[in-house]
Amino acid sequence: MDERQRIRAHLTRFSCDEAWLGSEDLFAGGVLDSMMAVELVAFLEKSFTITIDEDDLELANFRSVEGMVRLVLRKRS
Amino acid sequence: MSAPPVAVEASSRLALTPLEAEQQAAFQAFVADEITPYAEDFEASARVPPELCRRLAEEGYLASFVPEKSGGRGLSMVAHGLLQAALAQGSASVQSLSTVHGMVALAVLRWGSPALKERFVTPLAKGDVLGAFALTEPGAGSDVQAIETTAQADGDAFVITGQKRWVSFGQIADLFLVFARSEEGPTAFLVPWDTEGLTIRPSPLTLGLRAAMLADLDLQGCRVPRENLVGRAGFGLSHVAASALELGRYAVAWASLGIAEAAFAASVKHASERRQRGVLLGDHQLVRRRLADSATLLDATRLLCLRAGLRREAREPSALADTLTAKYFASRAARQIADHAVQIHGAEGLSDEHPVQRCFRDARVMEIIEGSSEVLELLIAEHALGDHRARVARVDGESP
Repeated sequence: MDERQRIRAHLTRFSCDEAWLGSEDLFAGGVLDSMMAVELVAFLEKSFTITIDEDDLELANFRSVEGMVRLVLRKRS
Repeated sequence: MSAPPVAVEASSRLALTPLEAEQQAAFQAFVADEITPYAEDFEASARVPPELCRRLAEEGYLASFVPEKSGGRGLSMVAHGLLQAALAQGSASVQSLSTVHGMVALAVLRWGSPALKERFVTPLAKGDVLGAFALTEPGAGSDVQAIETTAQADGDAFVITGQKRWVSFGQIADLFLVFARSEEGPTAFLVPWDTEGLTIRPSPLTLGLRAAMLADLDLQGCRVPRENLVGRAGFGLSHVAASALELGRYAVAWASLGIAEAAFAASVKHASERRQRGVLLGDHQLVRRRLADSATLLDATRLLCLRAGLRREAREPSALADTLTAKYFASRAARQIADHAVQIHGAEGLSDEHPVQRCFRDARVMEIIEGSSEVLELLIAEHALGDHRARVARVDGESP
């Protein structure tokens, strides 16, 4: 599985709704609570062997699958 | 036909390594010498003496997980847990200093800017600076999103106004991790104790952790430089507080284990020595039932704490759920085991001269702090449902 597929597969923990998985703001609508963000960080760090730090705390990096893919690719480059 | 082999996780061992057992013995020796004999005095005076704070700092026990290169002990997560259990076995109030100070150190270590880390991580690791965690407000307990303290940007600073309650060791802390609402959303700041506009008052004494030196903070226009921001503005709750609380829950799980160990040891000793009508208490079947229940709960607590520690060490995402489960179970088990201990001791167990009544009071607190049992039930259930959803999605994805 590539990065996108792995992130989508993880997000099915919260909802399998395709529209939500493809949305531009996963935190809108209340499916993903901001307090679940730490779990997302743990998943991204462990799955892609990256370290997320203060510099990466931009909403754009976490609120969509594409944003997370870009973050992972940038951290691994 | 034989069953398929079951994969054994590296993080699922059931016993301590020789190194961990050695570390545990050292922690327990320290506690036996420097904490246990004085624990009732701490409770009576509602304070932990500064000399003991210094000793804890000298031993590197206040933020023991901080890497050695940053001035910490660099303990593994399991060893950090064993330390919490040992401290709480002597005094849960003393242990709670390690919980809250560790939460502040972790927040800076994890989310601080390079400059902030440079200024504060080593002093926190060495205990030269004592940290306290200021999140709870008069109107915001379990619902942390309800915080009303504000942080108004003003040039190169923020001006913080609001109130904080039940800040453990707030009476002696040098540095507060304060959460407030800025224009961008919830934001975390380091606020030194001597900041102009900050008033610190002792909170009312609580049922347990009576020596935890709780304080209420009144922040009236406290000007805090922008460089004291921890993490980015808007990420104060979702990342900074959540990471710190996660570590706090882990510490409380192990602390609950320590309380349970102390209560159970007292129960077994008393049941082995005390006679009623010529028969040892331990030979009464109803007393044995309480001992059996305690021993079983204690075993399960040890295993859940160890599993959470091993998975944290391996940085497994499931460690978050494991920590929730460990804290939820351990705090309830500690209360139950302490309740058995009080009952087995009879009137003596009610006396403030006997440690089991302190265990009972402290255990009750563990079910509320760093996430009440009710909040944890919601989160644990959400993880269970999430596991199911992910499994169903995986099977559906594999179907032709």
